[in-house]
Amino acid sequence: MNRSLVLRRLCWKEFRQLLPLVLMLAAIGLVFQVLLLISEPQHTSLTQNLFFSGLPGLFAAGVGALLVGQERDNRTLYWMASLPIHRQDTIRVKFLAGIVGLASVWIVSFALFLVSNGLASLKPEVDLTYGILYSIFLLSVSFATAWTFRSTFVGLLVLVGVAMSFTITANFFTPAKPSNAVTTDFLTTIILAATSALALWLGWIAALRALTPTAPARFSQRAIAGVSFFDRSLVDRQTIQTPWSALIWQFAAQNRVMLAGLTLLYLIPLFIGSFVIIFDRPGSSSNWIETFTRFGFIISFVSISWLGVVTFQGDNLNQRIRFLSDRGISPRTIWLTRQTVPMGMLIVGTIALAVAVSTVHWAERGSLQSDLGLLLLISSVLMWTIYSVTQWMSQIVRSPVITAIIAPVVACLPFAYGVFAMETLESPIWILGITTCIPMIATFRMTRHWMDSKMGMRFWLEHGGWLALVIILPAIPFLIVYSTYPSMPMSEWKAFSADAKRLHSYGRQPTEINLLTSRDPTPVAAATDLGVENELAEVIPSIGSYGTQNVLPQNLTLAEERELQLEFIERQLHSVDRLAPISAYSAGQLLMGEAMLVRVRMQDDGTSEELLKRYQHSIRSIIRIIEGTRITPHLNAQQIADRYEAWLVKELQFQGASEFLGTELQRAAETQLGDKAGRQNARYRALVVDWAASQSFTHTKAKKRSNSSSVPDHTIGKYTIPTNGNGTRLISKRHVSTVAWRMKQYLMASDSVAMNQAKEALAREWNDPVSEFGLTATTFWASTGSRVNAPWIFWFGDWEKQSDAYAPSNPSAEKR
Amino acid sequence: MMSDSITATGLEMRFPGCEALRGIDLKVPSGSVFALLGENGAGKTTLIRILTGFQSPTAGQCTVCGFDPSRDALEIRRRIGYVSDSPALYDWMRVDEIGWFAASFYEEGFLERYGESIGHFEVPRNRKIRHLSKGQKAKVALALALAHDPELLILDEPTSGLDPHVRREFMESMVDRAVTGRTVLISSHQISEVERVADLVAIIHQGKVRLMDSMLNLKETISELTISLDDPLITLPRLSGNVEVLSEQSSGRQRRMVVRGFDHLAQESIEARPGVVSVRSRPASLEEIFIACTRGNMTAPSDDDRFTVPSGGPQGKQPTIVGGGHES
Repeated sequence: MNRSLVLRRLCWKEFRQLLPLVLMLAAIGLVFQVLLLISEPQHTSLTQNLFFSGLPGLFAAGVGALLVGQERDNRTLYWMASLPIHRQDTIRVKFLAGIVGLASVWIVSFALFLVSNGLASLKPEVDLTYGILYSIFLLSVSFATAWTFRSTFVGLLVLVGVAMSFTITANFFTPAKPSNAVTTDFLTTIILAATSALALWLGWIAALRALTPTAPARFSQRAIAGVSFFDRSLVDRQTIQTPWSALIWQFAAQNRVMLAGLTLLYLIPLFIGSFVIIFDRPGSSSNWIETFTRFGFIISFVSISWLGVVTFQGDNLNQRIRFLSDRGISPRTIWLTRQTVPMGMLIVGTIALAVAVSTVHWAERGSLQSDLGLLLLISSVLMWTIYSVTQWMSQIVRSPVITAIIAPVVACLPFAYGVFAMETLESPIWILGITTCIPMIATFRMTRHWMDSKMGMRFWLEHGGWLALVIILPAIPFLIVYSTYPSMPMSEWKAFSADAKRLHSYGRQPTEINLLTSRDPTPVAAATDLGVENELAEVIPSIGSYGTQNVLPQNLTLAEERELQLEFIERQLHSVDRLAPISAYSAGQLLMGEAMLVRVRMQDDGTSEELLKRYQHSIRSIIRIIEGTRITPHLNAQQIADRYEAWLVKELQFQGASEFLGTELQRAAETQLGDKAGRQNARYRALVVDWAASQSFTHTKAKKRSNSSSVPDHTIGKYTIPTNGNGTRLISKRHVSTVAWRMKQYLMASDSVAMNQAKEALAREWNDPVSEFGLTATTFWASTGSRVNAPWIFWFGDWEKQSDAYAPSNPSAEKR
Repeated sequence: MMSDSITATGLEMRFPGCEALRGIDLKVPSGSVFALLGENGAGKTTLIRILTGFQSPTAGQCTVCGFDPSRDALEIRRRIGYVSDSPALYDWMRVDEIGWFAASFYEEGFLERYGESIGHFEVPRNRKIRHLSKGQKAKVALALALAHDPELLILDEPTSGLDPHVRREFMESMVDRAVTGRTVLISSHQISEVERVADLVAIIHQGKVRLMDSMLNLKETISELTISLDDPLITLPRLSGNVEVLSEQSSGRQRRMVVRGFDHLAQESIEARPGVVSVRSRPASLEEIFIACTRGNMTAPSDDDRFTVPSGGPQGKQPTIVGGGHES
């Protein structure tokens, strides 16, 4: 006998057995991946936990049941024992296959995580070493329990208990923020390694015993006769039951070990829930609370998902269901009797949860919190959904072991989809509620096929149809709105996309200009310093408050402060190209205030060299800001430039402005104001670039990451478009496109009639009456009396008509 | 007039890459023991699965106890008793528990009859089914199938695992059932056992019924001929009349045939041929008929070689299959 050949063949067999589980886990991960890609990306920790704990952990926990338990159930393990193969080889190869399979799942998980999040999003607090060690620990315990217990499900239940006990115990000894983190981690590592080794040793002994051909199965007479689960006298007296009661009895008796284990498992989170409420007080250790809450959640998740698995898998084992199928029992009766016990347990469990939590809550707090009812309702819906999905899976997947392993992670899928449906598709709750019932309808409809083992095309097509309904139903309201919602024509879309590509340049981001902080950075102080307190009331509305970024040296006079600030701004202006609109506006406000105050003083008191210099310096800086913001491809930058140009137009109109500015600076200001084509081009460029960014998925992700969820989706640039209730992200994008198209029409209008029509259409899309903006002495006004924050409100206002007078083609400009 | 318990017309069943049934026509009268014979993979179990509604046929119609299995499968299953080749039993139940459990689905009397059968088969009542031997499990399955006194009993390899005593006794009890108007369909390889009890026999080969007739007719009309020749190279011409050659084997100077409708005239006709030394005939056993019908591939024979196909193969004893028996 060629031993290496034997080992190779054994490896092939084990890998072949593992393949379905690896593929299923990869498929589940992929589905999560898709949901994450098209959904909200800010839950990085959640995805990290899924890919680095969920998938490898599930594989490690299930591999023993799959390679040992399933073989025992199929009796192939005993066939293996009858072959001329060393027992040790069989055991070693199984463990080796488990380790290799685990490594594969780790690689798959890591790859899936990288696809959606990128390496940069890997949070440093995730301890990969611990994760890997813990999965090896799970794998060792999984093999040990699988070899030790004759029932696969019992082995899995014990495994859950051991795994949870270890983790909870480890958390006892791990403070929330340990000062001796290295020691603690080292200690945990040592304990994990030691426990894994112990589990492997115990598993080895159990495996050798299980594969010993000479060891006869020792059954007591009591075991052979079986411990009666019910009143034996019913059989002895030959009392005939109704089909219903007989089938309920059969289900309960068949799954009694599993049902008892799950009840026990469910009681643990119930206890934990009470514990959390009792001890969750200010000052209590949040680490404990968090740990217990997390594990309570996981255990209840696992127990309910396995409750769903029990529904049909007990009859799947050894094709027991054929007994009932051969006797023509109605599928309806079978379905109802399979559901009665687990659903009864689910209902009792829900009530028990509500009673326990409410009672403990009441006893501890003296009253019930208003959100407790909502919490319990959500818990009930979660429990129902988990059950509904897993009972569906238990009818579809033929292998009880694989079903048990993947059930908890499959049960996560509806939640991922539910979150996606609520956040992205804005599905109504009642539709989601109906959707959770579809798996029940599916199993009801397909029970006959399941009973008769008719797993043909129709079986899969019908289940596929139900699955499609589950996916589509929550999306129907969204699809209706989306398909009927107006958007820009396709030709315009293409033009926008092409222009955005051509004009887009994200290579350099606009630079922020910092301000030096004053000890008293208010206009009042500046005005006092300048001696223009009386004019302050007129000036204040357009100055606003300063932003504060840097700290000025102490013990400066206000004049010295101002000098430093202006110098600081100027120095920065000469070192940057594009300007960040917000900071540019802050700096500009300071400069405008300075210019206006100086100009007022010169008008009142006459000019001086120093005042002229200060005035011209401010105006020069403002022109520089206008230039910097105009070349910034964002709509809000353009609006800042509009504001300064509008202010500059007015400033040029004051008496003596030409004298104060001097010829050169006046020409520079007029050149800037008269460049109508440059302004239009800059606006269009900003429009298409901001539109493209609003449509871009990566931009949305980046925006979400940088600014949490506070930025709504119906934005173009930094502007939020008022909505009429259809706020789903994809519909918002369509709305943004429509607005962008209308803005382009407004921007490109060739005559006043077209311009007015475009403006009215744009205002309608913006859900706002048409606003007219113009110039007063110091500020802007709108005809509606309200300040509308839209990117287009300054376009073609009075100031722009006046600035057109400075265009070189204008005769009056040439004359000047 | 006795009605038919099972009818089938043009039943076809195609799986990917396999034609399991290729036009099955059957009529099984009530009150008969019907033996369904065929080699492994001939389509027997597929036919039974169709008759019990576990499988829908690709084409054709059938009725069982007057019901259409495609529509009324549950009603059929309630009326019949069915024992498959690997019966599904709840192995965690005890022997008496499974009877008590199954009694819930049938009329009164089930439990008593089940108890009688179990007692008769000497299966320990208190033992869990998973701890029973294969034969004991088969006995439990048979007892369960018989306990509601079904009007049609379908047995797919029912006696595998049973000891010869029980097997013989059980098969003979099928005759008693038929006498009371019940119908029994037995699918089995145990041809000798079937031969003793069957009223009607159908032999399926490669998805088609090669032969179907009453046992009496088969024994009367099918004979085995042994023709001795002067010269092994002599080719016999076509047999005249209604004689149908089911199979032919050549071995040296001997030709061995299983033929149908062979009579005295036909024998004289052969004996008169030049080179024929002697012709011996005797009634063929069911096993010989089965072998004759199920050897080789079924091909559509041409007129010329319909009754004589040159022999070949190992030792020159390659069997010859001739056209579909029931078609001729």
